[in-house]
Parts: sequence; C-alpha cells; structure tokens
Amino acid sequence: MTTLARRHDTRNQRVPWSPSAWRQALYLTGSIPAQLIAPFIALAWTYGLRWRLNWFPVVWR
Amino acid sequence: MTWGRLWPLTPVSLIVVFLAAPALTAMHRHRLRATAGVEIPPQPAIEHRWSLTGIAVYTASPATWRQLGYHLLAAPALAVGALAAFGMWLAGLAGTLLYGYAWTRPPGGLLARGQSSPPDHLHRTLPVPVDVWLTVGGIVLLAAAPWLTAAVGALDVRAARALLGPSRAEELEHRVEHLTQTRSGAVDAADAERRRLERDLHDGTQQRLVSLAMNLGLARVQAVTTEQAHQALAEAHEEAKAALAELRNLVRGLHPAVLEDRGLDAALSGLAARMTIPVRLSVDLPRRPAATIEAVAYFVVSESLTNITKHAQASQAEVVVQRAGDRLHIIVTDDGVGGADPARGTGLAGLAKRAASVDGTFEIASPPGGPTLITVDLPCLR
Repeated sequence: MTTLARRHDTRNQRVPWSPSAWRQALYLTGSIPAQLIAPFIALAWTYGLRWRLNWFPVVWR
Repeated sequence: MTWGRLWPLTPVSLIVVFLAAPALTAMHRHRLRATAGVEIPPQPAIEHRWSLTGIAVYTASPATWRQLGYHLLAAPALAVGALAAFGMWLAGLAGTLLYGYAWTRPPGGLLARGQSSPPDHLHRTLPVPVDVWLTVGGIVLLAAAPWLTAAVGALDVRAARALLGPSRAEELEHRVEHLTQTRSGAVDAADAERRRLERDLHDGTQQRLVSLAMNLGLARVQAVTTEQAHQALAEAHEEAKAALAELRNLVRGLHPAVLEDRGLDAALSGLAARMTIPVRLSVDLPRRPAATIEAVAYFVVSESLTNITKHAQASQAEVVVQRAGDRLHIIVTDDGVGGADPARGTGLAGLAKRAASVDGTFEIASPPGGPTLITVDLPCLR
C-alpha cells in the first residue's frame, strides 16, 4: 500500500495571516514572564533582604 | 536604594536561584512541551538532594551550571527577543491599519490621509504623505514579525535543548544504562518464555504422545480381536489429533505464519476469533510495522487476551491497535474483576520486559473490581 503524506512546509507558517504564526507569537509572548522568573527571584530576594536588614542597623548600617 | 548598597546581597539571591534551578527547569520543560511540542529529556535525579552529599553532587554537576546559565542569561535574553517580536507584531498591525484610520481623520490633522508630509529632505526626493510611509512600514514589519517570532522560538528551543537537557555524553551514558537494563530484561523474558514452552510441551504434547505410544503398544500386545484393535487405534487417533491441536496452539502463540504473511491485522483477527469470550478488535495501520515490532505487538495482545480469559472473569474484551506518527499504540481492556499485579506473576512483568526490549513502554491499570486497561506503546519507525 502506498500512502502519500502531505509535505509539512514551515515556510507557509511564516506569513502574518497564518493562524500558526499568531499562535507562536502568542506562546512566545506568554513565555516572557516564565523567562524572566529567575532574575525576578534574584532581584526580589535582594530587595527583600535589604528591607529585612534595615531592621538590623548594627549589621547593615 | 542604590546598587552599591545592594550588591553584597546578590550572592544570597543567586544561591536561592541556584537551589530553585531544578524547579525552574521543570517549569520550562513543561512550557516547551505545551507550547512548542518539544520534549526536553529530564536530568538524572540526584538522590537525597537536600543532604550535604546531595548538594555537593548537585553543585559539582555541569548540568546544574548549564541550567543556571539558561535561567539567568539565556532566558532573559530570549525574553527580550520575544518582547521585540511582540512589539514588531503590534507596530506592524498598527502601521498596516493606519491607512484606514487616516481616512477617518479630519483634513489637516497629523495622520489625516495625504495631508501631512514627511520631513523635508524625504519629501523632496519622494513626495509621499506620512500615512502612506507608516502603512508601508507597518506592512514590512508585519511581514517580518512571523520570521522574528519563529527565529526567537527556534533559539529558545535550541538553548533549552543545549542547557536544560542532558549533554550528549550524559545522554549516551543514560542510553547505555537503559540498553543494559532492557537487554537484561529481554534475556529474562526469553528465559521465562523458554520455561513456559518447556512446561507446555511437557504437560501437554509430551503427555499426549506418551498416551498415544501406550495405546499403540497395548493394541500390538493385547488386541486379539479386530474390535479391540479398532478401539485401541481409535483412541490412539484421538490422542494424535489432540497432540497436533496442542502443538498448533503452541506455535500460534509464538509466531503464527499468518503474522509473517498477512500482518498484524489478520493475525490479531485470528487470535480474537479463537478466544472464548467476544473480543472487539480495531486495527488502524496504514503501513506494516517492522517484523520485530509486529511480533512483540502480537505477543503482547496474545498474552493479554490469554490472561483475560484465564483470570479476569471478563465477559468481553477490546483491543485497539493504531499508529500515531512513529509510535504504535496498543490498548487492551476488559470488563473483568481487575486486580492484576505485575509484581505477583511473571506474565505481566514478562510483557513489560518484552515491550522494553524494543524501547517500548508497558502500563497496566487494574484496580480491584476492574476494569483492566493495558496500554503498550512501541516505536514504529518504518
């Protein structure tokens, strides 16, 4: 038996009216918070520690 | 609050990120699977992760530092790229729609159609209004946005594969370990199969042949009348037919000729027809899988159905075989009493080993009270 498979052409996805291009843009935009979470944790801890240490002037100031 | 006063705290924050890296990696693996359909292989788990030894192993592992590189450097850079792509989509859409918007503006406004002009030096060379400039720019941006999106997406996948997944050496090491285990499993499964064959031949066919020989011997020694000889020969004939039937069943259970000649569909149809309970069979295979995979699939279905008829007290069973991409999915289910446990017998464990020997997976769900659901997933590259 011969089966003809449709060729998967990614070039057709790279046009503005392609739903898959929009989907990819949506996913990529949605990924931004996840990609920034590590620097966010680092900064949040840094600022959080600073705020905590303000209560211990002998140590910090 | 200045950075000069904050920087001594940064190492503490980095340690937090360092310890949170596996959780962040798991999140990104999930994200990429959900959004890009990309499977990043997991890192080997570290035993007693929060013990001192565990933390030492975790710190010494290059994979940890690669993950940290992704979370602190690559991912933020990719976020900037994603933001640029998003901005390009927005600007492109806004610019493209601007021409229509310009029609709605009163004459003389900044964006009114044809009313405003670009800076003088441009206007002198190409006297085109601002709305047309912006619209053309928007169309160009909109055309380029999908390409930038795809490029950033591809970079994200490449970075995640390189930094979040195991390295080539680790992957090969894991593969060797897996192959060693599955080879040992295959040898065990073959041994178990050989013992089953020996038992079947000893208890079935051999006993029939012994009985046949005894009947023929009795006929030769004791049959003095034609009627007695006829009786002994008739019994011997029955024994011979029973021995043949048992041998045929045994061979069918191993590798039936129809599997070789006509494929899995025909072989499983024959198997289902011979079962003592109704079996609903659905086979969807556009192309025949490799012979090894067909044999494993047949063996798994055959053993599962035999188990169902022997132990499940089921009134019916269902078998679904279908191909999805480069995988062959097999589902066997029944309406029996359930309670099948691979740890209790060698049969189900043997099936799991048989599936693992070709890099397949075997799962069984059989709560007490039933039903039993067996799911087998085999590679099917052909």
